[in-house]
Amino acid sequence: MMVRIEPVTRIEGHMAITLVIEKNKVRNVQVNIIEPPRLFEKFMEGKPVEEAIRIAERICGICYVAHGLASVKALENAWNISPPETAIKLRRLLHAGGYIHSHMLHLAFLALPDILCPGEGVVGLAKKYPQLCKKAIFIRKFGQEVTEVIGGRPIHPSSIVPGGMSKPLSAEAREFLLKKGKEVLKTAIELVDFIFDLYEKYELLNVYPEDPTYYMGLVRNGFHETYDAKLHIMNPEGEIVDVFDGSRYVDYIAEDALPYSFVKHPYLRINGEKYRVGTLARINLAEKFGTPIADKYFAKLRSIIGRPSHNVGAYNLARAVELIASIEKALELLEDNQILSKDIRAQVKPKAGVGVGVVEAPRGVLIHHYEVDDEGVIKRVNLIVATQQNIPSLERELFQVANNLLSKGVELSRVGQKLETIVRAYDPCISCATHLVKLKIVNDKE
Amino acid sequence: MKKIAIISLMSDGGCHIAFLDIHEELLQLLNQVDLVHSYMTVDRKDIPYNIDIALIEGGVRTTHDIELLKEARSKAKILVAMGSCACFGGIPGLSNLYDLTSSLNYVYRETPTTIKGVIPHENVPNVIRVAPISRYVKVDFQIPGCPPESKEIKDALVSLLKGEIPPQPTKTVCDECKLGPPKKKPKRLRRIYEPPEPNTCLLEQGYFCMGSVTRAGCGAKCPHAGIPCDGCRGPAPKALDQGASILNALITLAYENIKEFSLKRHSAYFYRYSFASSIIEDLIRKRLVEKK
Repeated sequence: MMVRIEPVTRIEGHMAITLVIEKNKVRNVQVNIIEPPRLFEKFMEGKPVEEAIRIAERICGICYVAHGLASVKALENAWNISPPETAIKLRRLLHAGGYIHSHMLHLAFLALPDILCPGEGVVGLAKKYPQLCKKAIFIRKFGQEVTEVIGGRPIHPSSIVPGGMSKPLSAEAREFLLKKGKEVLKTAIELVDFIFDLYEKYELLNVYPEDPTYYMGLVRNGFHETYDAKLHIMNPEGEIVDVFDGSRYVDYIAEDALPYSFVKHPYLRINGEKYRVGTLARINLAEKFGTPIADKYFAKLRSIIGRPSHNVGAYNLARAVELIASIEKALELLEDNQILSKDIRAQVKPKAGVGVGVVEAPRGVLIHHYEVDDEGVIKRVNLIVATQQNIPSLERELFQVANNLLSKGVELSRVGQKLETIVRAYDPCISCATHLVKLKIVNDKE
Repeated sequence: MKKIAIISLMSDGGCHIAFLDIHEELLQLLNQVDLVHSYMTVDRKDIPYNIDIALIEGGVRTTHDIELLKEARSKAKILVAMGSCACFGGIPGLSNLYDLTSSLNYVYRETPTTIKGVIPHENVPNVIRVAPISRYVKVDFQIPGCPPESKEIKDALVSLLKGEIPPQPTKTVCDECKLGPPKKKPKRLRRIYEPPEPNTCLLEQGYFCMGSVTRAGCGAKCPHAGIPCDGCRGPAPKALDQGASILNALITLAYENIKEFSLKRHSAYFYRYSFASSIIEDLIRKRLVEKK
C-alpha cells in the first residue's frame, strides 16, 4: 500500500510524504519536495553580482534578510571588502529583525495550533486564543518594523549594498524602535513562559523522536552567533570535531540528487554522515548567548534537554530562546550610539574572484558561493540552504516514527498528523530548499 | 460568510507573508471571512468548492502548478493574481533565457558540492517554462509587487468582497519619488556598488532605475532608501512591455553610454520581474512551437 500526505500544511513550501507500507510495516519513506524548482543557481549566471543581492532575497519569502546577507558577504569575500563597523551593526540589527519575524511566525502560527487546537490551524487559534494571537502579532510586527526601518521595506529589503548599507539610521527611527522593543521584550517573555509551561505540562518533548546526528553551525568563542564566525561541526557524542572557515565548505559538505525530490540531500563529505542545522544545532554548539534573559532561558532549557540534545521537539524550545535573544540583541544594538554613524559604506571596486558568504538563517547554515569575472559579472553560483540539510535526518525520523505508531495499531490518519507535527518542528522552508505538504491519503496498489 | 482561499504555485511564500503583515487587522478579517485554504496557516489539504475569492500566489513552473491553478479557477468565482510571479512570472522568469535541460543539469548534477547527480523524475511533477498564470486561466484582478504592499492586498479584498472592482494605480513609481524626474542626461552609467549623490534622481545619475516604467503604489521605497527601483511592481499601465519601455527611455537619455547590450546580463535590470510575460518571451515561444 502506498500512502501519500500531500501537501504538508503549516510549513513554508510544497512538500509531500510518501509511505510504502507492507504488512503493517513501513518499508520506505520518501520526503517528496514538489516545490517548483526555480533554478536560481543557473539564471544568476551572467548577472552583475551586486544585483544578486536583491535577486537572491527572492529565494525565500520568510528569510530574505539571511539570503541578502549571505549574498553580500559572498560578494565582499570575492572583492575583498570590509564594510565599516556601523554597517555591520546595521546588518546585525536587520538580521535580528528577520529572526524575530521568522521565529514568531513559526512558534505561534505554524507550531502552536498542533498543541492548542489540533487540525484547526491559525483560524482556530485566532478564534480560541485571540489574546495569545495579539501578543504574537505584536512581537512579529516589531521584527517587520525593524526590517522596514533598516532595510527600506518589511519584506525583501533593499538597503544591503556591497561595502555596507545604503541608508543610515535616523535618531527618530532609533527612538521609535527602542521604545517599542522594550515593550516587545516583556510580551515575548510572557509568551515564551507560556510555551515552556505547555511543554512541561503535556510532556511534549516525549512526543518527538530522539535521533542522534552530527550538527553544524556558527559559534564564536562559545557564544551563539548568526552573522559571522567559523563553522563548527559537533559529533553525536557532543564533541567539536572540526572548525573551519566558510570559504572551505566544499571540503566538508557534499550532496546527492535523488530521483524523487527537487531537493538535494547534503551530508558530511568527511564521513558520509547526516548532520543537522538550525536552532537545535546552534544551541548544542553554543555555551551562552551573552544577553541576560536569553541566557536564563538557555540554562533552563539545557537543564531539561542536556547537551547535546537529539530531541526534535527541542527545535521549538530553542526557537523560543532565540526569539528572546534576538529582541535583546536588537535592543543592545539600538542602545549603541555608533549605530547612528553616517559612515556606512566602504569604497568598492569590482574584480575577478571567488567568494563564499555564510550566515545562520533562522533555519540554519546558509551558504552562497559566487565566482565572478573581472567586471564583477557572475560566472558560477552554488547555494547550500538551511532546510535542505535537515531533510535526510527528517526522512529517517519519519520512517522510525511511522513504524513505531503502526506497530502500536494507530490508525493511518493519526499517523499522518503525527508525521506532520515532526516535520513542523524543523520549521522547514521548502521554497528555500528548492531553490509543501498535502494530507491526502491515496490508498492504491494494495 | 464569504470564502477566501490562498493557493500557492511556484513562489517564495513572500506574498503569503505580505498578507499576514496586515498584523492586527488579520484577526478582524478572520472574523469576517472564512479562510478555507492556505497551506501556510490552514490545515485543510484540498481546495473546497464555491470559493468567493481565490488569491493565487506564484507563477507556473510545473505541470502540478497548472493542475492546481485550473482546479482553483473551476472552484472560484473571482480569481486574483497576487504578486509579480502570478502576474508576470516574476524573478524566476529570468530562467526562461537559459536552456531548461542545461539548467536542470547544472543544478542537479554539476554544482561543486554535488556528488551523485540525477534530475528528479519520480513522484515529482514535470518542470516547464515559467509563465504568468494568465497564460492558463482567466484572471479577474491583478495585485502586482514583489511582494505587493500588505495594505493593497487587504484593500483589494475588501473591495472585491463588496462586489466592487478595486481601483488600480494609474501612475508610475517615478511619480511617487521625491528624487525625480531626471532633469538632465546622465554623464555615464553607474552600478549600485557606487554610492549615489543625495537628493538627485537616480536615472539622471546613470543608474538603471526602473521607476519611470513601473507601476506606482509602493511610495518609491527603494529610491528613497538610496537604491534604484528594480521594477518589482511590473509595467506601468501605459507601458506595453517593461523592458522595451525602459530601453526606449534610455535610448533618448543615454544613447552614447550604452556600448553593448546583452539580454542575459541586462535582463537583471530591465526584465527582472516581467521577462516571462515580455514580447521577447512571446517570440521565443512562437519559435519553439514552430520547431516542433
